[in-house]
Amino acid sequence: MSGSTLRYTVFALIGLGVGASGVREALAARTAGPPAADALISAAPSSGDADDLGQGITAMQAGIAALQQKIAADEAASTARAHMVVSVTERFVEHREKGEITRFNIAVGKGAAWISGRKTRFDTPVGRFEITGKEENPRWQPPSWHFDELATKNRAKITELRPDSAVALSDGRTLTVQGKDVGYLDTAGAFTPVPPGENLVMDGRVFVPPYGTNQRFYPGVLGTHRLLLRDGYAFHGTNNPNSIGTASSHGCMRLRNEDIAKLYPKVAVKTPVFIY
Amino acid sequence: MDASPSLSEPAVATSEPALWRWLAGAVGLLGCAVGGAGWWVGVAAPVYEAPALSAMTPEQKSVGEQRAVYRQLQQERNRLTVRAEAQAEVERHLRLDREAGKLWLAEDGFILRICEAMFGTAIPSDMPGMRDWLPGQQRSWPANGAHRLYGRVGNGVFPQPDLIGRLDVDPWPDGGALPGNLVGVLVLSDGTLIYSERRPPLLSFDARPGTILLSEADMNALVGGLTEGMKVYVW
Repeated sequence: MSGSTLRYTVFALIGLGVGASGVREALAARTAGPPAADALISAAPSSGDADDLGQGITAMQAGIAALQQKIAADEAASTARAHMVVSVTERFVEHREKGEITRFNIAVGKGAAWISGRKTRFDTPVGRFEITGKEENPRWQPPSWHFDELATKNRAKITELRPDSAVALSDGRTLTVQGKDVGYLDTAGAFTPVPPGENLVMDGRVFVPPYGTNQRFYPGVLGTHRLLLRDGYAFHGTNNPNSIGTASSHGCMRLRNEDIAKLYPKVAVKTPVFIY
Repeated sequence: MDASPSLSEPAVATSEPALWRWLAGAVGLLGCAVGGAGWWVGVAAPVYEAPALSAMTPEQKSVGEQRAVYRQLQQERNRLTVRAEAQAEVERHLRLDREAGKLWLAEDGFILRICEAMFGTAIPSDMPGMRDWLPGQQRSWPANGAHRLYGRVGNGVFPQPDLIGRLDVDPWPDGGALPGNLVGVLVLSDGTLIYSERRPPLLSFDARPGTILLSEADMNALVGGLTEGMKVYVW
Protein backbone atom coordinates (compact mmCIF):
# COMPACT_ATOMS: atom_id res chain seq x y z
CA MET A 1 0.00 0.00 0.00
CA SER A 2 1.41 3.37 -0.89
CA GLY A 3 2.04 6.16 1.66
CA SER A 4 -0.84 8.30 0.47
CA THR A 5 -3.25 5.42 0.63
CA LEU A 6 -2.06 4.83 4.17
CA ARG A 7 -2.70 8.47 5.07
CA TYR A 8 -6.23 8.33 3.68
CA THR A 9 -6.87 5.10 5.53
CA VAL A 10 -5.64 6.62 8.83
CA PHE A 11 -7.84 9.66 8.19
CA ALA A 12 -10.79 7.41 7.63
CA LEU A 13 -10.07 5.45 10.79
CA ILE A 14 -9.78 8.65 12.85
CA GLY A 15 -13.06 9.84 11.39
CA LEU A 16 -14.71 6.59 12.31
CA GLY A 17 -13.19 6.79 15.79
CA VAL A 18 -14.55 10.28 16.31
CA GLY A 19 -17.91 9.16 15.03
CA ALA A 20 -18.02 6.15 17.32
CA SER A 21 -16.96 8.27 20.29
CA GLY A 22 -19.65 10.85 19.57
CA VAL A 23 -22.31 8.22 19.25
CA ARG A 24 -21.12 6.54 22.45
CA GLU A 25 -21.25 9.85 24.34
CA ALA A 26 -24.69 10.56 22.95
CA LEU A 27 -25.94 7.20 24.11
CA ALA A 28 -24.28 7.63 27.49
CA ALA A 29 -25.84 11.06 27.84
CA ARG A 30 -29.28 9.68 27.17
CA THR A 31 -28.91 6.99 29.81
CA ALA A 32 -26.72 8.62 32.45
CA GLY A 33 -27.99 12.22 32.61
CA PRO A 34 -26.64 15.53 31.37
CA PRO A 35 -22.95 15.52 30.59
CA ALA A 36 -22.70 19.10 31.84
CA ALA A 37 -23.68 17.93 35.30
CA ASP A 38 -21.33 14.98 35.05
CA ALA A 39 -18.54 17.31 34.13
CA LEU A 40 -19.29 19.49 37.10
CA ILE A 41 -19.36 16.51 39.43
CA SER A 42 -15.91 15.50 38.36
CA ALA A 43 -14.71 19.10 38.62
CA ALA A 44 -16.13 19.68 42.13
CA PRO A 45 -13.38 19.87 44.70
CA SER A 46 -13.64 17.99 47.95
CA SER A 47 -12.29 20.75 50.16
CA GLY A 48 -13.92 21.67 53.48
CA ASP A 49 -15.13 24.98 51.97
CA ALA A 50 -16.98 23.15 49.27
CA ASP A 51 -18.46 20.78 51.80
CA ASP A 52 -19.65 23.66 53.97
CA LEU A 53 -21.14 25.37 50.97
CA GLY A 54 -22.70 22.14 49.88
CA GLN A 55 -24.31 21.67 53.27
CA GLY A 56 -25.45 25.29 53.26
CA ILE A 57 -26.98 24.85 49.84
CA THR A 58 -28.72 21.69 50.87
CA ALA A 59 -30.13 23.39 53.95
CA MET A 60 -31.16 26.41 51.90
CA GLN A 61 -32.88 24.22 49.33
CA ALA A 62 -34.75 22.46 52.10
CA GLY A 63 -35.78 25.80 53.60
CA ILE A 64 -36.95 27.06 50.23
CA ALA A 65 -38.93 23.91 49.58
CA ALA A 66 -40.59 24.24 53.00
CA LEU A 67 -41.42 27.90 52.36
CA GLN A 68 -42.80 27.13 48.92
CA GLN A 69 -45.00 24.42 50.37
CA LYS A 70 -46.25 26.69 53.13
CA ILE A 71 -47.01 29.55 50.77
CA ALA A 72 -48.73 27.24 48.30
CA ALA A 73 -50.79 25.68 51.08
CA ASP A 74 -51.72 29.05 52.58
CA GLU A 75 -52.65 30.53 49.21
CA ALA A 76 -54.67 27.47 48.29
CA ALA A 77 -56.50 27.65 51.60
CA SER A 78 -57.33 31.32 51.04
CA THR A 79 -58.48 30.67 47.51
CA ALA A 80 -60.74 27.87 48.69
CA ARG A 81 -62.36 29.92 51.46
CA ALA A 82 -65.55 31.70 50.49
CA HIS A 83 -65.21 35.46 50.47
CA MET A 84 -66.54 38.50 48.64
CA VAL A 85 -64.59 41.33 47.07
CA VAL A 86 -66.10 44.66 46.04
CA SER A 87 -64.47 47.23 43.80
CA VAL A 88 -66.27 50.49 44.46
CA THR A 89 -64.62 52.28 41.54
CA GLU A 90 -65.43 49.55 39.06
CA ARG A 91 -68.79 48.83 40.66
CA PHE A 92 -68.74 45.09 40.90
CA VAL A 93 -68.91 42.45 43.58
CA GLU A 94 -67.26 39.09 43.22
CA HIS A 95 -68.13 35.99 45.15
CA ARG A 96 -65.09 33.71 45.30
CA GLU A 97 -64.96 30.19 46.57
CA LYS A 98 -62.78 27.19 45.69
CA GLY A 99 -61.22 29.12 42.83
CA GLU A 100 -64.60 29.90 41.30
CA ILE A 101 -65.41 33.58 40.83
CA THR A 102 -68.87 34.97 40.16
CA ARG A 103 -69.10 38.68 39.38
CA PHE A 104 -72.12 40.97 39.51
CA ASN A 105 -72.46 44.64 38.66
CA ILE A 106 -73.65 46.89 41.45
CA ALA A 107 -74.67 50.44 42.22
CA VAL A 108 -72.58 52.14 44.88
CA GLY A 109 -72.78 55.21 47.08
CA LYS A 110 -73.36 58.47 45.28
CA GLY A 111 -70.83 60.48 47.26
CA ALA A 112 -71.53 64.05 48.23
CA ALA A 113 -75.07 65.43 48.24
CA TRP A 114 -76.70 68.57 49.60
CA ILE A 115 -79.51 67.82 52.02
CA SER A 116 -81.33 70.49 54.01
CA GLY A 117 -78.53 72.90 53.25
CA ARG A 118 -75.85 70.55 54.54
CA LYS A 119 -73.30 68.67 52.50
CA THR A 120 -73.72 65.01 53.27
CA ARG A 121 -71.67 62.07 51.99
CA PHE A 122 -73.20 58.80 50.91
CA ASP A 123 -70.15 56.64 50.27
CA THR A 124 -69.89 52.91 50.13
CA PRO A 125 -67.49 52.17 52.95
CA VAL A 126 -64.16 50.46 52.26
CA GLY A 127 -62.52 47.96 54.54
CA ARG A 128 -63.24 44.54 55.89
CA PHE A 129 -66.76 43.47 56.72
CA GLU A 130 -68.64 40.24 57.10
CA ILE A 131 -72.14 39.11 56.34
CA THR A 132 -74.11 39.51 59.54
CA GLY A 133 -77.53 38.43 58.35
CA LYS A 134 -79.67 37.36 55.41
CA GLU A 135 -83.20 38.40 54.58
CA GLU A 136 -85.70 37.47 51.90
CA ASN A 137 -88.30 40.00 50.72
CA PRO A 138 -86.75 42.70 52.88
CA ARG A 139 -88.66 45.81 53.80
CA TRP A 140 -86.85 49.08 53.83
CA GLN A 141 -87.16 51.24 56.92
CA PRO A 142 -85.82 54.56 55.64
CA PRO A 143 -83.36 56.40 57.83
CA SER A 144 -83.88 60.08 58.56
CA TRP A 145 -81.88 61.15 55.51
CA HIS A 146 -84.63 59.82 53.27
CA PHE A 147 -87.11 62.29 54.75
CA ASP A 148 -84.49 65.03 54.68
CA GLU A 149 -84.04 64.36 50.95
CA LEU A 150 -87.80 64.45 50.42
CA ALA A 151 -88.07 67.72 52.29
CA THR A 152 -85.24 69.26 50.29
CA LYS A 153 -86.70 68.06 47.02
CA ASN A 154 -90.21 69.33 47.83
CA ARG A 155 -89.07 72.42 49.72
CA ALA A 156 -91.13 71.18 52.62
CA LYS A 157 -90.75 70.99 56.37
CA ILE A 158 -90.47 67.74 58.27
CA THR A 159 -93.13 66.70 60.75
CA GLU A 160 -92.51 63.55 62.73
CA LEU A 161 -95.73 61.77 63.61
CA ARG A 162 -96.19 60.22 67.03
CA PRO A 163 -98.58 57.38 67.97
CA ASP A 164 -101.10 59.96 69.22
CA SER A 165 -100.70 62.44 66.35
CA ALA A 166 -103.73 63.83 64.55
CA VAL A 167 -102.89 66.45 61.93
CA ALA A 168 -105.71 68.33 60.20
CA LEU A 169 -105.02 68.58 56.45
CA SER A 170 -106.17 71.33 54.09
CA ASP A 171 -108.48 68.89 52.22
CA GLY A 172 -110.53 68.30 55.36
CA ARG A 173 -109.07 64.90 56.23
CA THR A 174 -107.00 64.16 59.32
CA LEU A 175 -103.69 62.34 59.18
CA THR A 176 -103.57 60.09 62.18
CA VAL A 177 -102.09 56.92 63.64
CA GLN A 178 -104.28 54.01 64.59
CA GLY A 179 -102.50 51.00 66.02
CA LYS A 180 -99.80 49.91 63.53
CA ASP A 181 -101.13 52.09 60.72
CA VAL A 182 -100.85 55.69 59.64
CA GLY A 183 -103.91 56.76 57.64
CA TYR A 184 -106.51 59.31 56.81
CA LEU A 185 -109.61 59.92 58.85
CA ASP A 186 -112.34 61.39 56.65
CA THR A 187 -115.11 63.70 57.81
CA ALA A 188 -117.42 60.71 58.26
CA GLY A 189 -114.92 59.14 60.69
CA ALA A 190 -113.78 56.36 58.34
CA PHE A 191 -110.09 55.43 58.61
CA THR A 192 -108.07 54.52 55.49
CA PRO A 193 -104.51 53.36 55.98
CA VAL A 194 -101.85 54.88 53.73
CA PRO A 195 -100.38 52.23 51.39
CA PRO A 196 -96.92 51.28 52.72
CA GLY A 197 -94.17 52.85 50.62
CA GLU A 198 -96.11 55.98 49.83
CA ASN A 199 -94.37 59.20 50.77
CA LEU A 200 -96.47 61.50 52.94
CA VAL A 201 -95.83 64.89 51.35
CA MET A 202 -98.69 67.36 51.63
CA ASP A 203 -99.48 70.87 52.76
CA GLY A 204 -95.80 71.84 52.47
CA ARG A 205 -94.79 69.16 54.92
CA VAL A 206 -93.12 65.75 54.87
CA PHE A 207 -94.69 63.50 57.48
CA VAL A 208 -92.50 60.85 59.01
CA PRO A 209 -94.43 57.77 60.19
CA PRO A 210 -93.54 56.54 63.66
CA TYR A 211 -91.19 53.59 64.02
CA GLY A 212 -93.07 50.33 64.22
CA THR A 213 -95.95 51.36 61.96
CA ASN A 214 -96.52 49.62 58.64
CA GLN A 215 -96.09 52.91 56.81
CA ARG A 216 -92.57 53.27 58.15
CA PHE A 217 -91.57 50.28 55.98
CA TYR A 218 -91.17 50.52 52.21
CA PRO A 219 -91.70 47.19 50.46
CA GLY A 220 -89.92 46.40 47.18
CA VAL A 221 -87.31 49.12 47.43
CA LEU A 222 -84.64 46.60 48.47
CA GLY A 223 -85.68 44.03 45.89
CA THR A 224 -86.00 40.38 46.67
CA HIS A 225 -83.07 39.69 49.00
CA ARG A 226 -80.73 41.45 51.37
CA LEU A 227 -77.33 40.46 52.74
CA LEU A 228 -76.59 42.56 55.79
CA LEU A 229 -73.21 43.95 56.72
CA ARG A 230 -72.98 46.42 59.61
CA ASP A 231 -73.93 50.02 60.33
CA GLY A 232 -76.95 49.68 58.06
CA TYR A 233 -74.93 48.79 54.96
CA ALA A 234 -75.97 45.81 52.87
CA PHE A 235 -76.10 44.13 49.50
CA HIS A 236 -79.66 44.14 48.25
CA GLY A 237 -81.83 44.08 45.16
CA THR A 238 -83.64 47.08 43.76
CA ASN A 239 -86.83 48.42 42.25
CA ASN A 240 -84.66 50.59 39.99
CA PRO A 241 -82.54 48.25 37.86
CA ASN A 242 -81.40 51.11 35.64
CA SER A 243 -79.34 52.41 38.52
CA ILE A 244 -77.01 49.38 38.47
CA GLY A 245 -73.54 50.39 37.39
CA THR A 246 -73.93 53.93 38.68
CA ALA A 247 -73.02 55.78 41.85
CA SER A 248 -76.54 56.38 43.08
CA SER A 249 -77.10 54.59 46.35
CA HIS A 250 -76.77 55.88 49.86
CA GLY A 251 -73.85 53.56 50.54
CA CYS A 252 -75.44 50.14 50.11
CA MET A 253 -74.52 47.93 47.18
CA ARG A 254 -77.50 47.38 44.92
CA LEU A 255 -77.77 44.45 42.58
CA ARG A 256 -80.39 43.54 40.03
CA ASN A 257 -83.00 41.29 41.63
CA GLU A 258 -82.02 38.34 39.48
CA ASP A 259 -78.38 38.81 40.49
CA ILE A 260 -78.99 39.09 44.22
CA ALA A 261 -81.16 36.00 43.92
CA LYS A 262 -78.17 34.13 42.46
CA LEU A 263 -75.74 35.51 45.02
CA TYR A 264 -77.96 34.97 48.05
CA PRO A 265 -77.74 31.16 48.31
CA LYS A 266 -73.96 31.20 47.80
CA VAL A 267 -73.32 33.43 50.79
CA ALA A 268 -73.27 32.23 54.37
CA VAL A 269 -73.44 34.40 57.46
CA LYS A 270 -69.91 35.36 58.58
CA THR A 271 -68.57 35.31 55.02
CA PRO A 272 -65.80 37.94 54.91
CA VAL A 273 -66.38 40.88 52.58
CA PHE A 274 -63.49 43.05 51.40
CA ILE A 275 -64.42 46.41 49.92
CA TYR A 276 -61.83 48.58 48.19
CA MET B 1 18.23 -1.44 -18.91
CA ASP B 2 16.82 -1.75 -15.49
CA ALA B 3 14.25 0.74 -14.72
CA SER B 4 14.90 2.61 -11.53
CA PRO B 5 12.37 1.68 -8.82
CA SER B 6 11.99 5.33 -8.02
CA LEU B 7 10.93 5.91 -11.52
CA SER B 8 8.68 2.93 -11.59
CA GLU B 9 6.82 3.90 -8.35
CA PRO B 10 4.86 6.78 -9.81
CA ALA B 11 3.73 4.52 -12.54
CA VAL B 12 2.41 2.11 -9.97
CA ALA B 13 0.92 4.94 -7.85
CA THR B 14 -0.86 6.53 -10.70
CA SER B 15 -2.12 3.23 -11.83
CA GLU B 16 -3.35 2.29 -8.26
CA PRO B 17 -7.13 2.70 -8.35
CA ALA B 18 -8.13 6.15 -7.11
CA LEU B 19 -11.05 4.28 -5.64
CA TRP B 20 -9.06 3.63 -2.45
CA ARG B 21 -8.48 7.29 -1.87
CA TRP B 22 -12.05 8.23 -2.60
CA LEU B 23 -13.28 5.44 -0.41
CA ALA B 24 -10.94 6.33 2.45
CA GLY B 25 -11.82 10.00 2.16
CA ALA B 26 -15.52 9.30 2.09
CA VAL B 27 -15.32 7.00 5.09
CA GLY B 28 -13.27 9.63 6.95
CA LEU B 29 -15.75 12.38 6.18
CA LEU B 30 -18.65 10.15 7.09
CA GLY B 31 -16.93 9.27 10.33
CA CYS B 32 -16.35 12.92 11.12
CA ALA B 33 -19.96 13.77 10.30
CA VAL B 34 -21.31 10.98 12.47
CA GLY B 35 -18.86 11.89 15.22
CA GLY B 36 -19.79 15.56 15.06
CA ALA B 37 -23.45 14.77 15.19
CA GLY B 38 -22.89 12.41 18.09
CA TRP B 39 -20.86 15.01 19.95
CA TRP B 40 -23.58 17.59 19.41
CA VAL B 41 -26.37 15.35 20.54
CA GLY B 42 -24.45 13.88 23.43
CA VAL B 43 -22.37 16.75 24.71
CA ALA B 44 -23.02 20.17 23.26
CA ALA B 45 -26.79 20.37 23.01
CA PRO B 46 -27.48 19.22 26.56
CA VAL B 47 -25.32 22.05 27.81
CA TYR B 48 -27.90 24.46 26.42
CA GLU B 49 -30.56 22.54 28.24
CA ALA B 50 -28.50 22.02 31.35
CA PRO B 51 -30.61 22.03 34.47
CA ALA B 52 -30.69 25.17 36.60
CA LEU B 53 -27.84 25.33 39.02
CA SER B 54 -30.28 25.32 41.88
CA ALA B 55 -31.53 21.93 40.73
CA MET B 56 -28.11 20.31 40.95
CA THR B 57 -26.78 18.60 44.00
CA PRO B 58 -23.98 20.38 45.86
CA GLU B 59 -21.50 17.84 44.57
CA GLN B 60 -22.22 18.99 41.07
CA LYS B 61 -20.77 22.39 41.49
CA SER B 62 -17.43 23.95 41.89
CA VAL B 63 -16.81 26.17 44.88
CA GLY B 64 -17.26 29.33 42.85
CA GLU B 65 -20.44 28.08 41.34
CA GLN B 66 -21.64 26.92 44.70
CA ARG B 67 -21.11 30.37 46.15
CA ALA B 68 -23.12 31.86 43.31
CA VAL B 69 -25.78 29.24 43.82
CA TYR B 70 -25.82 29.89 47.55
CA ARG B 71 -26.35 33.61 47.00
CA GLN B 72 -29.04 32.90 44.47
CA LEU B 73 -30.77 30.54 46.86
CA GLN B 74 -30.39 33.01 49.69
CA GLN B 75 -32.10 35.64 47.55
CA GLU B 76 -34.85 33.21 46.68
CA ARG B 77 -35.32 32.30 50.33
CA ASN B 78 -35.52 35.97 51.26
CA ARG B 79 -38.13 36.55 48.57
CA LEU B 80 -40.16 33.62 49.79
CA THR B 81 -39.81 34.71 53.40
CA VAL B 82 -41.22 38.13 52.57
CA ARG B 83 -43.97 36.51 50.54
CA ALA B 84 -44.85 34.21 53.43
CA GLU B 85 -44.93 37.20 55.79
CA ALA B 86 -47.26 38.97 53.39
CA GLN B 87 -49.47 35.92 53.19
CA ALA B 88 -49.76 35.95 56.98
CA GLU B 89 -50.49 39.69 57.15
CA VAL B 90 -53.97 40.29 58.49
CA GLU B 91 -54.29 43.98 57.63
CA ARG B 92 -54.83 45.31 54.14
CA HIS B 93 -51.50 45.69 52.38
CA LEU B 94 -49.73 45.84 49.06
CA ARG B 95 -47.39 43.26 47.61
CA LEU B 96 -44.87 44.04 44.93
CA ASP B 97 -43.58 41.07 43.01
CA ARG B 98 -40.77 42.52 40.97
CA GLU B 99 -40.00 39.37 39.04
CA ALA B 100 -43.61 38.82 38.00
CA GLY B 101 -44.19 42.55 37.43
CA LYS B 102 -47.28 42.52 39.64
CA LEU B 103 -48.73 44.62 42.39
CA TRP B 104 -51.24 42.88 44.63
CA LEU B 105 -53.78 44.34 46.99
CA ALA B 106 -54.30 41.77 49.69
CA GLU B 107 -55.75 41.32 53.15
CA ASP B 108 -55.72 38.47 55.61
CA GLY B 109 -54.36 36.05 53.04
CA PHE B 110 -56.95 36.98 50.43
CA ILE B 111 -55.87 38.54 47.16
CA LEU B 112 -58.27 41.37 46.45
CA ARG B 113 -56.73 42.59 43.22
CA ILE B 114 -53.76 41.83 41.01
CA CYS B 115 -52.41 44.71 38.93
CA GLU B 116 -49.88 44.66 36.14
CA ALA B 117 -47.00 46.85 37.28
CA MET B 118 -44.19 48.17 35.16
CA PHE B 119 -41.04 48.60 37.17
CA GLY B 120 -38.99 51.52 35.93
CA THR B 121 -35.36 50.86 35.23
CA ALA B 122 -32.39 53.16 35.11
CA ILE B 123 -32.22 55.14 31.92
CA PRO B 124 -28.86 56.30 30.59
CA SER B 125 -28.24 59.95 31.39
CA ASP B 126 -27.39 60.74 27.81
CA MET B 127 -30.70 59.53 26.48
CA PRO B 128 -32.38 62.60 25.03
CA GLY B 129 -35.23 63.86 27.10
CA MET B 130 -34.54 61.54 30.00
CA ARG B 131 -32.01 63.56 31.93
CA ASP B 132 -34.69 65.24 33.97
CA TRP B 133 -35.72 61.93 35.39
CA LEU B 134 -32.45 61.07 36.97
CA PRO B 135 -31.86 61.48 40.68
CA GLY B 136 -30.72 64.90 41.71
CA GLN B 137 -32.71 66.65 39.05
CA GLN B 138 -35.49 68.96 40.13
CA ARG B 139 -36.62 70.04 36.69
CA SER B 140 -38.93 67.53 35.24
CA TRP B 141 -41.83 66.51 33.11
CA PRO B 142 -44.55 67.55 33.09
CA ALA B 143 -43.70 71.16 33.63
CA ASN B 144 -46.86 72.01 35.51
CA GLY B 145 -45.90 71.03 38.97
CA ALA B 146 -44.89 67.41 38.91
CA HIS B 147 -41.45 68.43 40.04
CA ARG B 148 -42.83 68.33 43.55
CA LEU B 149 -43.09 64.61 43.08
CA TYR B 150 -39.74 64.06 41.59
CA GLY B 151 -38.05 66.48 43.90
CA ARG B 152 -38.56 63.80 46.47
CA VAL B 153 -36.68 61.36 44.35
CA GLY B 154 -34.09 63.98 43.63
CA ASN B 155 -33.48 64.74 47.27
CA GLY B 156 -31.31 61.72 47.66
CA VAL B 157 -33.99 59.19 48.36
CA PHE B 158 -33.91 56.83 45.47
CA PRO B 159 -35.75 53.56 45.21
CA GLN B 160 -33.78 50.46 45.83
CA PRO B 161 -34.01 48.36 42.70
CA ASP B 162 -33.14 45.13 44.47
CA LEU B 163 -35.06 45.68 47.68
CA ILE B 164 -36.59 42.66 49.32
CA GLY B 165 -38.45 43.57 52.46
CA ARG B 166 -41.15 45.87 53.78
CA LEU B 167 -42.02 49.47 53.08
CA ASP B 168 -44.96 51.68 53.99
CA VAL B 169 -47.25 53.96 52.05
CA ASP B 170 -46.24 57.51 52.91
CA PRO B 171 -48.58 60.49 52.84
CA TRP B 172 -48.76 62.35 49.59
CA PRO B 173 -46.25 65.16 50.16
CA ASP B 174 -48.48 68.11 49.41
CA GLY B 175 -51.74 66.52 50.32
CA GLY B 176 -53.34 68.38 47.46
CA ALA B 177 -54.47 67.75 43.93
CA LEU B 178 -52.31 65.65 41.68
CA PRO B 179 -50.30 67.54 39.12
CA GLY B 180 -50.35 67.07 35.39
CA ASN B 181 -51.63 63.92 33.82
CA LEU B 182 -51.27 61.89 36.94
CA VAL B 183 -54.23 59.74 37.84
CA GLY B 184 -52.87 58.71 41.17
CA VAL B 185 -49.63 58.49 43.08
CA LEU B 186 -48.48 56.47 46.03
CA VAL B 187 -45.26 57.39 47.70
CA LEU B 188 -43.50 54.58 49.47
CA SER B 189 -41.22 55.07 52.43
CA ASP B 190 -38.06 54.57 50.38
CA GLY B 191 -39.13 57.22 47.89
CA THR B 192 -40.48 54.83 45.30
CA LEU B 193 -43.41 56.28 43.42
CA ILE B 194 -46.24 54.13 42.24
CA TYR B 195 -48.14 56.16 39.73
CA SER B 196 -50.45 56.20 36.77
CA GLU B 197 -51.00 58.85 34.21
CA ARG B 198 -53.38 59.69 31.42
CA ARG B 199 -51.40 59.30 28.26
CA PRO B 200 -51.77 57.56 24.93
CA PRO B 201 -51.23 53.87 25.57
CA LEU B 202 -48.12 53.57 23.42
CA LEU B 203 -46.35 56.23 25.41
CA SER B 204 -47.14 54.50 28.64
CA PHE B 205 -44.64 51.76 28.07
CA ASP B 206 -41.84 53.60 29.77
CA ALA B 207 -42.06 53.56 33.51
CA ARG B 208 -39.88 56.33 34.84
CA PRO B 209 -36.69 55.21 36.50
CA GLY B 210 -37.23 54.40 40.11
CA THR B 211 -40.99 54.33 39.72
CA ILE B 212 -43.69 51.78 39.22
CA LEU B 213 -46.29 52.44 36.59
CA LEU B 214 -49.82 51.10 36.88
CA SER B 215 -52.66 51.27 34.42
CA GLU B 216 -55.16 54.03 34.91
CA ALA B 217 -57.92 51.52 35.68
CA ASP B 218 -55.86 49.77 38.31
CA MET B 219 -54.79 52.98 39.98
CA ASN B 220 -58.34 54.31 40.01
CA ALA B 221 -59.55 51.09 41.55
CA LEU B 222 -56.77 50.96 44.12
CA VAL B 223 -56.67 54.45 45.49
CA GLY B 224 -59.94 54.19 47.37
CA GLY B 225 -58.76 51.18 49.31
CA LEU B 226 -55.36 52.50 50.34
CA THR B 227 -54.37 54.30 53.47
CA GLU B 228 -51.28 56.01 54.75
CA GLY B 229 -48.99 53.75 56.69
CA MET B 230 -50.24 50.70 54.85
CA LYS B 231 -47.57 48.03 54.64
CA VAL B 232 -45.97 47.20 51.34
CA TYR B 233 -44.18 43.86 50.99
CA VAL B 234 -41.61 43.88 48.23
CA TRP B 235 -39.86 40.89 46.76
